[in-house]
Amino acid sequence: MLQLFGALRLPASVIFGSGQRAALGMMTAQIGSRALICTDARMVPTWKPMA
Amino acid sequence: MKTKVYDSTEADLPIEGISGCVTECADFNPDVVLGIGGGSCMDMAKCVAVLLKHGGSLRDYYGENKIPGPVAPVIAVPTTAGTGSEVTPVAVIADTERGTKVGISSPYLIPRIAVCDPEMTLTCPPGLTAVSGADALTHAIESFTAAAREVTPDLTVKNVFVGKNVLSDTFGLLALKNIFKALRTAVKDGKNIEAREQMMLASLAAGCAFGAAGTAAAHAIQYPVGNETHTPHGMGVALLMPYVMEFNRPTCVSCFAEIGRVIGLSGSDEELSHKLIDEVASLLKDIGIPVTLKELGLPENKQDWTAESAMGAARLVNNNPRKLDVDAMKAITRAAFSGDRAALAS
Repeated sequence: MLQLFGALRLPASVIFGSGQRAALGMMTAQIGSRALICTDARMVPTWKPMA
Repeated sequence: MKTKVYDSTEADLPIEGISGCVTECADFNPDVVLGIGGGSCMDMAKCVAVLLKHGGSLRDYYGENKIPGPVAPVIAVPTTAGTGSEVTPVAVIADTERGTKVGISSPYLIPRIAVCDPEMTLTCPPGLTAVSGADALTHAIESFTAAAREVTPDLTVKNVFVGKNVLSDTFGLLALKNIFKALRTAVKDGKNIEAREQMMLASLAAGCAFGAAGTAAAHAIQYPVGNETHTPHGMGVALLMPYVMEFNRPTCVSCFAEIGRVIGLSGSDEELSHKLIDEVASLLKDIGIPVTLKELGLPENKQDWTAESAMGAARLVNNNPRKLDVDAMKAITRAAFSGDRAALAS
């Protein structure tokens, strides 16, 4: 029989769910104070900075 | 909290754009980098985080395990359901000078936080929904069927991608179950939030799976095809998937059967292994993925070149469940060019 072996390498937090983008501001504030946001022109018209 | 928005991320992520972003943002001195968008935006954030911490050129980090240590924390927020880049140790960039796409893979590239909000995909147009979803499908199949490695204590230390394993398998099956349930609906009816949720869960799960297990032949062949035809990555890998599955089938009967049962098919393992390939091909056809490399615009006289170039992606070739040599690769490429999947049947 083949021995069981497993490996996962994942982010420290993986959050999934409708509306969870509202947590982004709070989460970012927990790990930094100067946030660079990389995005593209498609996303910017709808972008509203969070408190 | 101070923020700076860099909104000039280009599709396919040309290397100059990344150094441009780093230069433009140097004075801001960021301590956290968010990537909000499709694969290119998230990969941009990952690459910027590397350069902020370690400097140099991205060329110093091409390949596996070349990043010397931890990088600035990245928060990844996907707006398409496909690449899985929010959880993976990979960034793919375009080296315009060399005329090729290049991969950088290292555990240090894994974002600190992934936030997957299905509502972010509600406005994703049908074509992009199809290509992204097809990419996730390919990630799930190739990681679930990847070759299992000999287990040694340094397997996960020396390699970023470690082949089929029990943990990535769970995520692969979660992805496939949801893709077969939701991808057609998500493409047809983009406002259907249930389908969008299932697809975003699927692409996240597929990312969790291939981020550890890795991908294989379809990805190896897509690299030269993409460089030659400038067609989207997801379209190329998905188109190739049924052909690669047909070639791999003798080695993958029980794997394919396991997937078949998860998506609701029934029959013996042998029957299921055939049925699954038909199901994959029919799903891809329904969402508008082309069926042949010819349709994709690959010149007829580039078939063998494609196969030979694909053999150069040694890591992907070695991760394929059925052993590949250049003749096998040529057979797959020719079948995919002409649409003759039956030529690979065994």
